[in-house]
Amino acid sequence: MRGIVFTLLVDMLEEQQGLAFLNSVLAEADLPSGGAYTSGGNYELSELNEILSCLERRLEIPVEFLLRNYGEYMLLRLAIMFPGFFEVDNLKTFLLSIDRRIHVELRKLYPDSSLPSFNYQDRGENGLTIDYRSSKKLCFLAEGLIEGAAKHFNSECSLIHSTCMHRGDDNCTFELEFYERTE
Amino acid sequence: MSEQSEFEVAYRREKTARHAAEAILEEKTRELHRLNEVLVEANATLMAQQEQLVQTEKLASLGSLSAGIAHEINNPLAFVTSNINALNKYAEMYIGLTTLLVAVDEPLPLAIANKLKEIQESKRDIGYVVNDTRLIFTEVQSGLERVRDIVASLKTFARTNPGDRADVDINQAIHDALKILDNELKYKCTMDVQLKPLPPIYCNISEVGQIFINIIMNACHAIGAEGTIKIRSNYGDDIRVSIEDNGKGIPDDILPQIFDPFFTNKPLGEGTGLGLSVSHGIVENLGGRIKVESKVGVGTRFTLIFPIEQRVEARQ
Repeated sequence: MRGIVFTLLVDMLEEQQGLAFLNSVLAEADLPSGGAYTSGGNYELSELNEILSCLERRLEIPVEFLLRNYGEYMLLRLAIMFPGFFEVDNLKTFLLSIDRRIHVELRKLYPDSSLPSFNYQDRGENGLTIDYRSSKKLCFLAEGLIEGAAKHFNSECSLIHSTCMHRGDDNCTFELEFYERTE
Repeated sequence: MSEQSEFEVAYRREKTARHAAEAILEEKTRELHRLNEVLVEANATLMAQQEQLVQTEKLASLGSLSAGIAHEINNPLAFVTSNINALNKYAEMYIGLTTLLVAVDEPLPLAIANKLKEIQESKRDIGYVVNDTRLIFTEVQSGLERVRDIVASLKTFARTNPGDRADVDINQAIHDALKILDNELKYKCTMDVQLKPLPPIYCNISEVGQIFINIIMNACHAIGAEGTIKIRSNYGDDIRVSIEDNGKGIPDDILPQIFDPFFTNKPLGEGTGLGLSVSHGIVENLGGRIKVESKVGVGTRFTLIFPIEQRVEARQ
């Protein structure tokens, strides 16, 4: 798994929970890397799972919520790090560009990365269905990323996670409805 | 744990991460360098292939043009040559007649005798006219032979028919060429010929012989008063023949043009500019290539590369 997933998680924990908390989580997780992550490196998925289990125990927050929260944080950081990917008009266009453009660019940067696949079903101006497939089954992280994107584009959307690999389905399905912002 | 200790733990972790990042950077830089080298090499290959392609295209279009020109020139050339030969014979008869007439001792009718005297006293006397007529015929015939040779070369250059092909020993073709050129070479060129036994290639021996005649002749011309021509042959994956002279060399700016038809840097009238383009065409038809290395003042080396495995269709 790409190091950036870990470096941003470590940043988030340090910013939101403090350095002492981060140190103790990384020490408790007893990670092969020692938690010394770098964005260019590759690390085992099991290290992420160890950290999440540790956080679940300590914060008493289920892993899926932690991942959603992290996904949102991650997207807002990625928007700062890679502004070119976000130079589109709206949330839906951005989501449609993930597989066709962003993943293509990421493969250039990280040729050995295994990225999730997204299949889209465009349901008109206000509707989009995304089929998510990944051996890592990080669908809750994907949910958080979509929510983070909605924030970035100052958009409102509803997300129904109608099928899920964690419930034995072949893939996860995100059914999205986009709304005009009413504030 | 004190705040300072927390920072120390974080620092050690970040330090480890930095070392890891540096190692990745170093590895990526090395990989980038390697890939760049591959790219530079691929680019050079591509450029060479592009140059080759342009040359091939140019020769292909000039080939069809040459075929047309050769055909058009050949017909009038045939009757001009034939008529000149006949005219030469007739002129000899007239010369004989005139000589007899001048030598006649018997008195001629007055009108004829006066006319004969007038001719003899004109600026160009009979003797001069006779000699000049013969010289003119010799020059015209030599000029026609030259035109015939150029047309023949053009036809070879434009050749698409492989002609009479057979299994040929390239070394034999080199020896034949050296025999033909012996008169040209013996006074100024020291020949250093080392030929290793070669497998035969399926080709037309006279075509291949023409290549060696052209290139060895060029080497001889490139040598001033005296010099050495080294000829080597050997084979591995393909057959290679190198012909190297220590002559004046080819300047870099004209090197790309030497295979262009009608390109020559020999004095006017001494070269048709078809030798190397014809040779290039023949070698290409055999699936081979010609490599040239030259340095002004040092010499030139032509390397002819022939594939050993002739294409199946070439044999059919």
